[in-house]
Amino acid sequence: MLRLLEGPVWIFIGVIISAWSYRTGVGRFNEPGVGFVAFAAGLFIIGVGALVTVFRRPEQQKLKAADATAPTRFLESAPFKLTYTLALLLFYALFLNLAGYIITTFVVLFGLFYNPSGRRWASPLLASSLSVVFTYLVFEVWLKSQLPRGIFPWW
Amino acid sequence: MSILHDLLYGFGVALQPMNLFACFVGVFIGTLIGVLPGIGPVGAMSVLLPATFGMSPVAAIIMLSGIYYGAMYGGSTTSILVNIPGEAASVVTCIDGYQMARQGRAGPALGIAAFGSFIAGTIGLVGLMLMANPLAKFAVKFGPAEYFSLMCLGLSLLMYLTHGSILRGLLMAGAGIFLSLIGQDIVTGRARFTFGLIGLQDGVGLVPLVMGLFGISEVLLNLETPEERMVLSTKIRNLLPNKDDWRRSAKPIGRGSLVGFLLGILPGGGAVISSFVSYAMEKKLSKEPERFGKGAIEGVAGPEAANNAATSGAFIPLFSLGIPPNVVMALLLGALMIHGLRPGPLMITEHPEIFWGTVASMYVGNVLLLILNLPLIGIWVRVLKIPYNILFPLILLFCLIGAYCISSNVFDIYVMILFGLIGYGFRKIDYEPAPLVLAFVLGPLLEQNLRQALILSDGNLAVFVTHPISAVCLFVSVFLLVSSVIPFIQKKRSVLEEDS
Amino acid sequence: MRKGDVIKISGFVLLAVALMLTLSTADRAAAAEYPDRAITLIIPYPPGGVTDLGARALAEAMERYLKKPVVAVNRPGGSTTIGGNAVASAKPDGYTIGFFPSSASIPEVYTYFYEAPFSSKDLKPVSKVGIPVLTIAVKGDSPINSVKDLVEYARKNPGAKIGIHGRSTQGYLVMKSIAKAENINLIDVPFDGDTKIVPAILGGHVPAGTPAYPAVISLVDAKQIKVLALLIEKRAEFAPNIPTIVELGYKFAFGAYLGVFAPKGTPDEIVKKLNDVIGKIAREPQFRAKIHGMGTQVSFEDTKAFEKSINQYKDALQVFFKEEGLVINKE
Repeated sequence: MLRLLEGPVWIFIGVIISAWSYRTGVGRFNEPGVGFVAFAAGLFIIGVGALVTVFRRPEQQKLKAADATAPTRFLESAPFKLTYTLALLLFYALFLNLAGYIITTFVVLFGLFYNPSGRRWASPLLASSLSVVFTYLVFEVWLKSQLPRGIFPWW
Repeated sequence: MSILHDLLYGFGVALQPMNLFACFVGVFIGTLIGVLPGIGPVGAMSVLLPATFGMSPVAAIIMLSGIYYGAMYGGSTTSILVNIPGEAASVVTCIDGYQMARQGRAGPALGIAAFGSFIAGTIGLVGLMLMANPLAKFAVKFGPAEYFSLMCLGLSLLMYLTHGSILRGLLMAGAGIFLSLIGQDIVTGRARFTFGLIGLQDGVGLVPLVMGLFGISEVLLNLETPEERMVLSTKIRNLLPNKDDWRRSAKPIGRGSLVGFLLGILPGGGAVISSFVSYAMEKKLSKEPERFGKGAIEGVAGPEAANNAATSGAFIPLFSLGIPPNVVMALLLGALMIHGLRPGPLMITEHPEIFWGTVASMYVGNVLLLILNLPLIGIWVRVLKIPYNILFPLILLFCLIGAYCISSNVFDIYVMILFGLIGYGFRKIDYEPAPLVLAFVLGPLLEQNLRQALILSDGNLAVFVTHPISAVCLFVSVFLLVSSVIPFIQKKRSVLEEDS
Repeated sequence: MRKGDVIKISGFVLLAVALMLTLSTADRAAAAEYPDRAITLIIPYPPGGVTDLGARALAEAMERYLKKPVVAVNRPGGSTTIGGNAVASAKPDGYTIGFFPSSASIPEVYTYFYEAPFSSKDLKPVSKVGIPVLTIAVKGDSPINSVKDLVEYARKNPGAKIGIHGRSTQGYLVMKSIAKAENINLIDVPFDGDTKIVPAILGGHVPAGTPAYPAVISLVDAKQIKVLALLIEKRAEFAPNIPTIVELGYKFAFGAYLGVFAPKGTPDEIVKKLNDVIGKIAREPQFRAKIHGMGTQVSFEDTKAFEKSINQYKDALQVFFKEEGLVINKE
């Protein structure tokens, strides 16, 4: 199904890019404008997308066997882990400037180290504290990167 | 013999205790920031620049250049171990280096990267010593038209970067070019394709893009494999490259050094481009190109040699013309100017201690780096034995810090997460990120030079073929395109015929 | 590792973290006065250029007086307005300041060339530090030996090309005003900084260009590049033999500057403190030598004088742009 849509999706992307850069201004052939190269890139994507549609490889039948070892519990399933990790990364970006490097990093790392099925808190706590201390020393103290301090007055 | 005499004089300068110490500090910091993804030599050097104000000019430039070429050594480490390029020039190393690590051959991969870097660094230095002036004169022959054609040549190498479908590689390249054009236009200063986001006015950052496409997406993929990862089950075999590895790598290292050195002289991303060129070249020349992408040691040796030789090449325009070919060299130029020195055509005769001292220190530094890096291999390989549920949060943390530190901007973290997700999706449907990265690096150079060349020629497209260097580049790229497309078309035809 | 050990070690680490917190709190309480932490100095150029070097030298000197780190951060792009906007939209607490040329500080004058999301109303001038020095330069073996020759060359070759930094820069302004005064046609080729203009001149790809003086000094010494004129008003003390464009009789919006700016609303006492410190630095022989060595003129003006000269410059530039037809015609 995905394979069938592959070419058309790219053609669609190419059309959007071309239309957008055309509106930005392509200029003339001997005096390219702001959108000229982007327009060309869009046309190129349309062209290759068309090729992909035409020369579609015969459907590969040897699909990977479905994961036999499907996890029994939701907390261990791939979609959950993926969403959970992405959510933590987004949380990091959202709260970094607000809460500062040390607190945000500690919270996010604890979340990442924490194993929902194990329910142990001591090792994740240790690991995240150590990582925060270590990276803080290396980046802030030694390499003098400016990590955000956050809005808390005592920090 | 005067060169030998000058070099001995240089060693006299470089081996003074203070300068030796500066060299050590430089290469040590360089290795560290090379290993840490995100923080590149530019960031570290601009932070440490004020610290060099108090040093002698020689010590300052010795230390700063140590950071630069040291970073090229360390940059391959994370590419090989966890598929995150330590800096942009190590993107290519991910392709085969990471596969080698998955096969339990992280040791030889890291080893050949270190030895290749050492050999290339030394070859590059010899070139820097012997041919600085003629090469600098050659480099200024590259005007906008020549650059445009060179970038076309670079793009035609895309064909060799994929080990799957060529069409998909081309699609990724098209997307990469478009992404690279986001942000301010050079001619009018107008912002374009920014989706109304101020964070995109500067364009999409290379580092967040690369770390997202490679690092984050790799972690996300691995999370799906329950518990143990493949690397853990495969036994780590030898730590250093064996005879067979050396036999395979010798020529790639030599060729990579040459290509890297020459491309390093030209302004604009020399090290990054040269690593791609070297990879493509090795695949083209190889008798078994199908091994590439599946852990071919040539694919590590060549590009790693190339990016190190490029660092030596980059010193040429700086020392002989006073023109910095990349941002790192611009920082070195700055350091010298703050000390009241002006690199330029007269520098080598007026301040021999700077030129020869720096060159000699780079020989010393390369030896130091080899000594520093070889024992580290044992430690790095052990990193892979860490259970993945402990390793992956740390990988993510380094990516997050790296993305943030590029310009102290949270926006770059969002960009990285987005490209992590995109990269994850692409890998699921068998698209490779390397062509996108190459196109992303070449895109802006392609556009600027195209437009400058056409303004200079009053819109006459013929300039690209009437300038000899440009014509040669275009001819070679057309040749490469045709020679790689023909077998592809033949194969397709047979497929179609079978169908009907 | 046994569970007991893990708890013991984590307890220890937590203690260490707590200690770090306490220590830094104590440190902060003692230094409530400005500045009590690192100051960010935004430079709207990529690292390595003249302005960047000047700003870094200034940052280093300010650090000595203020006893806190002054971190130079490069925010290049958008004809310097990205860096300008970074300061204009920053919290006005004195911890984000910028080292700006006119393009980043009075963007509303340049609406013909680009639009910026802020104006000079969003910035508070602190003090003027220096004057950037651009040149008109040609290749060392070029038959062009003076601005007059260049004009003759352009008369014979209509549409002669000049390599410039972008259409809002001094180089472009001068080029356009010479073209208008002499009634010749010059075409501008925008380059991405001196590091691209200088090789283009050396390689003969453009007949002339307007690189910054410091970018060509060493090549001038080696006779590979000739400087026809400096784009400033009075002769520079570090280049007494090179005529200025004003001496040669071209009218020109004088008084380009490099200065320190803070976000609007920054408390007066902070502005005053910064101004005092910069004033002291500008008198340091060591700092002056460093800046002159880079081919930039040191020229200090305090907050009041600087505000006045910015306004004069703005007016002069607006008149100039109008005379030259470089304004958007509203219909």
